[in-house]
Amino acid sequence: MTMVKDFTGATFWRRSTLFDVLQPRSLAVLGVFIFIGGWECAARLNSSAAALIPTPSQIPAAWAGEIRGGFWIAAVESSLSHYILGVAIGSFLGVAAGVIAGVSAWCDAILSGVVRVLRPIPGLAWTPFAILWFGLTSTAAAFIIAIAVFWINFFAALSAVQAIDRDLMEVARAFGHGGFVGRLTKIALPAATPGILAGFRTGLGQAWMSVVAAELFGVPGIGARMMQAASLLATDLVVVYMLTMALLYSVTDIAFLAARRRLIAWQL
Amino acid sequence: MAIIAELLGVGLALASGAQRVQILDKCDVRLERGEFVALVGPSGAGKSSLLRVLMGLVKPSEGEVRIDLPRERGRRNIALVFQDAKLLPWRRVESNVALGLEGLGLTSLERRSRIAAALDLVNLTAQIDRWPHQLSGGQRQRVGLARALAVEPELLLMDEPFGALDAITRSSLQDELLTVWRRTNKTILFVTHDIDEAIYLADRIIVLSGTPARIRGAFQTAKRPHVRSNQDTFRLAEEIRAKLGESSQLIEFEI
Repeated sequence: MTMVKDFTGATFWRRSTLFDVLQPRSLAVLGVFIFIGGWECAARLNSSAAALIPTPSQIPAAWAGEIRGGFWIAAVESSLSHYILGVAIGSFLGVAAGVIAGVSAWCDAILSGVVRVLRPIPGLAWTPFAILWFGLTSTAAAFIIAIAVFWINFFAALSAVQAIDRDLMEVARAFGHGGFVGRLTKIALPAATPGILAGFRTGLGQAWMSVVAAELFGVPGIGARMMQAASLLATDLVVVYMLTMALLYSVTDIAFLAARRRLIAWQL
Repeated sequence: MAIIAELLGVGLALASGAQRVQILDKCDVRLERGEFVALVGPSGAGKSSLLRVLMGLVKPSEGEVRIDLPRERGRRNIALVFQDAKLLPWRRVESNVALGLEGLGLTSLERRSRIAAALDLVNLTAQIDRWPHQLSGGQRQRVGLARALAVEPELLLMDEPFGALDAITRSSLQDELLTVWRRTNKTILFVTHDIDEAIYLADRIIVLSGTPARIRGAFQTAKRPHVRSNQDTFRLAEEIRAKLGESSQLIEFEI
């Protein structure tokens, strides 16, 4: 027998099926193997595609070679530095602007026109200015990433603050924290933390996508290395760096979840 | 007895869209030190607005609010208990109770002993490390009461604090509140729409109703200890109901 939870959270028992015996986790691993097996077969059966698609079995050797040559570490280091700088600046400014606009109706009203104009412009569209202002430097890449991350954090923080129960502001006033700073630190920031963190997490993922894009124009890093490899038809290296991104994303997301557990223990 | 808080001819009009809605009109309320006063009236009559005027959260558009209480270090003169407790979900019970103490210049030792004393008054010492979502409705309301008691107010305002609780929890909390009142000698203004609750708890009952709301009358309850229901409480409840009925007829007449 297996205990099952339905979508309402109610639990009941039912007879174990093959699904219960295998467990979702092992099924996930099985799925990955089927995917890799299918890819390998498809690539081998179609020899004309050999230059266009690598087989999975080529990947480990290619990866090892890339590491031995020192290219991998250099690319990851450089991308990580763009990533961390861009995420830190973009998230900080986005959260700050979002919270301020959320707390003050004045700021929200004044910003709303500017937001409407700037918001639909994707981070990549800023590339010409990034190059003009910063040259082909890490700063330029970080700038593009920061812009992408900024908007995600701005809107998450704004709506998180706007969704706060208004009565809690009255509680703050009734207990002597009615000033701007009191309302901000005693109510707005802690109450909005879950929403802000959700935005921050989306930003963490989005930023990896921007890393590749930001490096396409020549700032060294994972994206630049991918473009070099692609121009030499070294498709196995392209895949190596795709998997590298997936790996880095997982690492940042797991680290984030661990940090979040501490920050919003009250919700769990 | 000394009068510690007074509303003199208070009127309150709030903007609602383009219109101004008159909520309170010519309200006079006098609170003497140590008494337990209930304010009854139908839902939406303006009882909570009157509390907020008294608390200083809303400025009256007419009339005057007089609070005759000295400022003392480490205390707040007036504290409010909210309808649905309104605890801060990201704070454990202990720091929820501490909310009003922050910014009063207490040492951490003083603060901790005040929290302990307040939680002891409401019998929640064992739950000090819980999160609000781990408490029952009655326990949450008791934390709300402890949060208000912790600032050692002279005047305790309570805004339908037991309105959302089940009948059994409500009656045990009513008894607890009376015990707290006897032990602390606070002045309490207790807002409720439950006439029986008002009669059981209060020395004096003020009836507020109509649009805009006016004070329709005041009633004295029997000598303590109060019983939940007998001939006298039944008669008093009927009188209060009649008073509320009068004013609702009055509204119809005005229309």
